[in-house]
Amino acid sequence: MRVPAPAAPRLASVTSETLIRNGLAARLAVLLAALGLWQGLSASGLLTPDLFPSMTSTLAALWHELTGAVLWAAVRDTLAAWAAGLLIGGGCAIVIGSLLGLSAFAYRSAIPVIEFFKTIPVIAILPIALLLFGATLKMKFVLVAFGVFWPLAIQVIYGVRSIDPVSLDTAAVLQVRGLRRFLVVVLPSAAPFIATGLRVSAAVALILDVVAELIGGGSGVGLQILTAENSGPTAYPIMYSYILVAGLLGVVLAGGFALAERRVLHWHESQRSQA
Amino acid sequence: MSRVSRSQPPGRSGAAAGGTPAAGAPVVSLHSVRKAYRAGGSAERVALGEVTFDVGRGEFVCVVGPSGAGKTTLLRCMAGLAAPTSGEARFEGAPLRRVPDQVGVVFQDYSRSLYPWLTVSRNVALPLKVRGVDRAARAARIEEVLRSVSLADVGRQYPWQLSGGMQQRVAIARALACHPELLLMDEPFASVDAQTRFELEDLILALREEFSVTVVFVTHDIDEAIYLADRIVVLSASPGTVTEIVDVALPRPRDQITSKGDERFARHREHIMSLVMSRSAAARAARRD
Ligand SMILES: Nc1ncnc2c1ncn2[C@@H]1O[C@H](COP(=O)(O)OP(=O)(O)OP(=O)(O)O)[C@@H](O)[C@H]1O
Ligand SMILES: [Mg+2]
Repeated sequence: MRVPAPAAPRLASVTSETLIRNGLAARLAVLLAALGLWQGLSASGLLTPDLFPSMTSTLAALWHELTGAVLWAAVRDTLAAWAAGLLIGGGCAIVIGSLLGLSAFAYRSAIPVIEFFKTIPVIAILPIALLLFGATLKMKFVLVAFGVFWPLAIQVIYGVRSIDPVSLDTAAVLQVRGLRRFLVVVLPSAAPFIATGLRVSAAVALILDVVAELIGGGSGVGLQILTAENSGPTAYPIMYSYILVAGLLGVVLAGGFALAERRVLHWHESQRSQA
Repeated sequence: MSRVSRSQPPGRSGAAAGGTPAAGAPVVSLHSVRKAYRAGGSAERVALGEVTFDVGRGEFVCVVGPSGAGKTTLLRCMAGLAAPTSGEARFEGAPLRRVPDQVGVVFQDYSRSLYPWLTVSRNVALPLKVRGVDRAARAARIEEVLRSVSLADVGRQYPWQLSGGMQQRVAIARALACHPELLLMDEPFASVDAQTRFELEDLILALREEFSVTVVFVTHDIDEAIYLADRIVVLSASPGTVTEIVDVALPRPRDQITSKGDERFARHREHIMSLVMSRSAAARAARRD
């Protein structure tokens, strides 16, 4: 006798697969339509090359850059400050945020200061960073770390403060204390909050990084955009191809974070159904 | 009595018992324990009235009382998780300052007390790791204690992949992993179905024999209390005080059908019901005035 039972899950996975494929196809179609529209606007003369190069010339410039060394060096410089700033700023936010979150007294004392610093537009400290470090990688790094720290610290504090008291009682009963308690109980409890904070911070970090290059002149994708712009309309295809690169970096990094979050938080209610 | 013969560090129980065997020294002793939240403030809320009783070594004591009577508060005071506002809680003769090493606790809500980011094995391993048990011994102990609660081959799964009854078994296994002297349980079977509940009741009676552990078991189910306990502490409505301590005159080993069919069971049930009912009626009347 043939047992039809296994057909159901297979059917489900097939439909989800076709859904994903259809979704991809739809996205690709929209992308192609947008590119076609761009080219059409250029051909019809609505977009003039001194303001907005055609799609084909931009993609040609992008291809040319992709095969050269300048683009990859710029991407490396941008990512270096992004990663270092996120790592150091994020690391400090997690440690300091946890310490503040675990003590009601420290929390009450520190939260007004943190809320204040969070509201400062980080770009406002760009002149200070420039003054201190010049147009260097260090300047970009400091700006990114500063910009990442405050919002993430707040997220960590709230995450730590929202720990279920039963989790802490359990830790006390099992004699889990000190660093082990922090790593095994506190951090995983707060992880959903921290992950959201990190995802947002990573995006903010990239923006700050590119702005620090664009305005502050630190080397990287942002500086390439600025240089191309200053070279006049003939370099506009290059400028636009670097803008595209900055966008693609954002998409790739956001995707990476979403993927990492799904893996690390696989145990969390919000992820379980997908496991 | 085999459960008394466990070796004791000198001085701990010996001092309190004045040289007599440990059997005489209570494991837990509560003296006028009272607990108020936000004590001293205008919003003070007395969660537990003055409670005094002892729990002897090897005893199985149930605490029953209506919702809000302060049962959880009482258990947290016995565990050293909360300090009494006044009065004193002692464990093996010494005043409680923090949770003693030899106490295991099973909380009511297993979905909150089992860490969902750790597998079953790692949950059970946690207290062993803290105590420096090496890897091989840990693995052996985890397997042994999971087998004791009739769970096998679930070590690599996450708690939330198991049924409620199985999860509570994991919590019990974790509490027993380090051979506690005292096991405190807070309405551990309140959120499982009746069939599973009976199985878990029998499991806990068997484990108590196997591990020679003293048990304090909080429940609001009078039948469950009578079935399990040597003695039942009946608490009044909020703020809880001891209404009466009932000695359960039912032979062991107990059995779901014969013990619960015993006429003594029915008599205990009637007695405790009347205590709880008259108390809550009195409380209602007092509130109306
Ligand atoms: N952390 C707290 N802060 C303030 N009040 C509390 C706190 N914990 C408990 N209470 C109050 O103390 C009283 C006793 O609570 P407790 O949880 O000990 O009762 P319980 O007998 O365990 O109830 P249940 O059967 O519902 O579990 C309740 O009125 C409760 O509102
Ligand atoms: Mg309770």
